[in-house]
Amino acid sequence: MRALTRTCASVLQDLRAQPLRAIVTVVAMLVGVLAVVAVTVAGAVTEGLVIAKSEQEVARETTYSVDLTARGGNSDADAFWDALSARIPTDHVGLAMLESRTIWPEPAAGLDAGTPVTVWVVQGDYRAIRRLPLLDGAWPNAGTSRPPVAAANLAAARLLDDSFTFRERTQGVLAVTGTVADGEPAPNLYIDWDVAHLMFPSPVQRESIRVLVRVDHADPTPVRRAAEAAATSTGWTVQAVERHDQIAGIRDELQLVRTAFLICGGIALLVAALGIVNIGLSTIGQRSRELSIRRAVGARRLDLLLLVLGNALAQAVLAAGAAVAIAWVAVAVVVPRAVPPESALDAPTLPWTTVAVALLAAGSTAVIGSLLPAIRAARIDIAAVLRD
Amino acid sequence: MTATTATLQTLHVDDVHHVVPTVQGDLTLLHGASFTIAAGETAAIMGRSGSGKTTLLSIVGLMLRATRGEVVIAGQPTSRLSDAERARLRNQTLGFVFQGYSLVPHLTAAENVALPLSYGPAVSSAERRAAAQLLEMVGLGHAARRYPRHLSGGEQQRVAIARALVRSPGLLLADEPTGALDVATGEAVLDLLLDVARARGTSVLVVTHDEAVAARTGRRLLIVEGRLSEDQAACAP
Ligand SMILES: Nc1ncnc2c1ncn2[C@@H]1O[C@H](COP(=O)(O)OP(=O)(O)OP(=O)(O)O)[C@@H](O)[C@H]1O
Ligand SMILES: [Mg+2]
Repeated sequence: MRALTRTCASVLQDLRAQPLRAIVTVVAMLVGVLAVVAVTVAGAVTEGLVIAKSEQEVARETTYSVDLTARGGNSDADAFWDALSARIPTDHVGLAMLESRTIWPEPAAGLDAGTPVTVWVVQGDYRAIRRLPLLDGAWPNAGTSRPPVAAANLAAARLLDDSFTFRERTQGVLAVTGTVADGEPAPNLYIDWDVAHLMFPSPVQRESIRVLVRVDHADPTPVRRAAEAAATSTGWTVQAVERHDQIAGIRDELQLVRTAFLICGGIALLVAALGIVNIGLSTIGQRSRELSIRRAVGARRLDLLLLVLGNALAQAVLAAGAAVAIAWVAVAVVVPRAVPPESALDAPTLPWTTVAVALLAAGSTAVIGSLLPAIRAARIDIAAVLRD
Repeated sequence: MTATTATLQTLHVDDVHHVVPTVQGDLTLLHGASFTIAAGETAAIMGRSGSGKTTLLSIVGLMLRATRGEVVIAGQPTSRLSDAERARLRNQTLGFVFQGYSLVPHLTAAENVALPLSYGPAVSSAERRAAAQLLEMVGLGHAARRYPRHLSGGEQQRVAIARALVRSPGLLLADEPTGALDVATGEAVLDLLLDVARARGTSVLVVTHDEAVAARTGRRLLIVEGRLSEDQAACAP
C-alpha cells in the first residue's frame, strides 16, 4: 500500500520531468485506444440497432414458427390454440397465432378507392414475439366494444381516420386506438383474435394456420412435441417447426465484420506501443543521470522499474479516460441522429464494457510499450553518477 | 587509531581489489585497498587523476561491486548483500555529495532534499520536518520551491549536502564536492559540509585533488596507481 502511494507520488512528480513527451505518449496511446474503443462501441451499437430492427420486422431471438394444415373438414384453430396453450413448455416467453385478412377502407376516408389494408388477427401475446413499440394509444384488447378496435402501423395511421368504414365481404366500422411501429412500409392493422368475429361475421374455413413460439433456449424439440400433441387431438397436422427469427445469422455476420475491425484496432495499438517504446527508450537515455542519482540515494532496481511502468500506466489511464469520453460524446450526440425517430428504437447507450476495453487496451499498450524502457531503467549503472 | 572495536567503526575496507576487462586484457584499478574510518572521523582520499579514487569511492558507496575484498559498513559485511539490501544501506547509512549536477532537475530544492525519503522505510512526520530544517541549516530555506536551474552551483551543492544528511547517515561520501565551484564558493561549501558533519557526529570520506580541502580533514589517504597508503607525512598532529 505504501509502495503504491509512493509510486503514485513519484509518478505525479515525474510527469513534470518531460510534460511534452508525456503528452505525445498519451496522444499516441489515445489514437490506438480510440481505434479499439470505436470498433467495440460501433460494433455494439450497430448490433443493437440491427438486432432491434430484425426483432421489429421479423421476431425476437429463439422464436420458432409452427405450420399446421387441417386434417379433416372441421379442424378448429381455437381448439388447437387451447390445447397448445396447455401443453407449451413452461419456459416459453411468447406464444401467438396469426391470420391475415385484407380490407378495403371506404374512399370517404380520403383514400383512393381500392387501397388494400392488411388486418392481422392476433391470438396471444404478439408483442412478446416481435418488438412492436407503441408510438401512442393502446394495443387492441379482447374487449367487446363496438366498433371493434385496432392498432395501426405508421403507414396505416397516415392513411386512415380514427374511425372508418371498410368493405370486406360485408361492410363494417373499425376504430383505431393506437399506433404501432412495425417497421413495414405497407399499411397494417392489428386486431385481437377474439374480436375478429365482430369485424368478420363469417369466418373462413381455415386450411392452414401458423403459430409462433418464442422460448429462451435454442432447442426446438419441446416446441415440436407440444405442437404435435396439441395437433393430434384437435385435427391438425404439424407440417414444419422452423427457426423463425434471424438474430443468430445477424450476429454471425456482425462478428465477422467486428473481428476484421478489431484486427485493425489491434494494429493501431501495436503501432502506438512501438511509438511508446521509442519515446520511452530515449527518455531513459536522457534521464540516466537522474536515475542513477535515485539509485545512489536508495532506490532499488524494482523501484525504478515501477516508476517507469507506473508512469506509463498513469498515462494509460489518461488516454483511456479521454477515449471513453470521446466515445460517450459520439454515442450520446451523434448516434441518436442516425436513428430514425419513427423507428421508436431506444437510443443506444455506451456499453459499460467500453470502459473495461479502453482500460485494457491502454494498459496493455502501456505495459508492452514501457517494459523495455523500464528494464533499461532498472539496469542503469549507479556509479555513472560519479563520472560526468 | 587504536579504538577499532566494531561499534566505533563506521567503515572498514579490507583488501579491496578491482579488476575490469578491457580490449587489451584485464586492467587492475585497485590493488588491495584496506583502511578503516571511525565514527565521527573525517578523511580525505588524494591522488592524481586516473589513480582510482572514484573507483574506490564507488565501491565504498555500494554503487560498484569490488572483484575481491570486503567493505564493512556499520559492522555489516556487504559483499554478499542483494541489490535491495545494498540499496537500503545506501539509503540509511550512507550520504552522497557528488561533483556537480547531482540534483534531479524537475524536482524543487525541497523535493530533492526529500528524495531519499521516498525510498527505504516509512518516514515519520518528524523526519519530514527535519528535511525542511536541513534546507534552513544550509542557508536555503528561502529557496525551497526553486528548481535546480534557478540555483547557483554553490547553492546546488548545499542542497546536495542537505539531501545527503536527510536520513541521518553515519558516513558521508563526497567525490570532488568543490570541483565545479570557484575557490571561495568551494571553501564555503566545504566548511558547511565539515561543520554539519562534525555537529552531527557523521564520518566523512572526501575525494579531492585539493590540498586545501585535504588539510581540513583529520586524516589523508593517498592513492597511487590503485595502491592506497596512509599519507604519514601530511598527517601532522
Ligand atoms: N569500467 C572501466 N573500464 C576500464 N577502465 C576503467 C573503468 N572504470 C575506470 N577505469 C579507469 O580506471 C582509472 C581510474 O579511474 P577513476 O575514475 O577511479 O580515477 P580518479 O582517481 O577518480 O580520477 P579523476 O581524479 O580524474 O576523477 C582511470 O584510468 C579510468 O579510465
Ligand atoms: Mg574521479
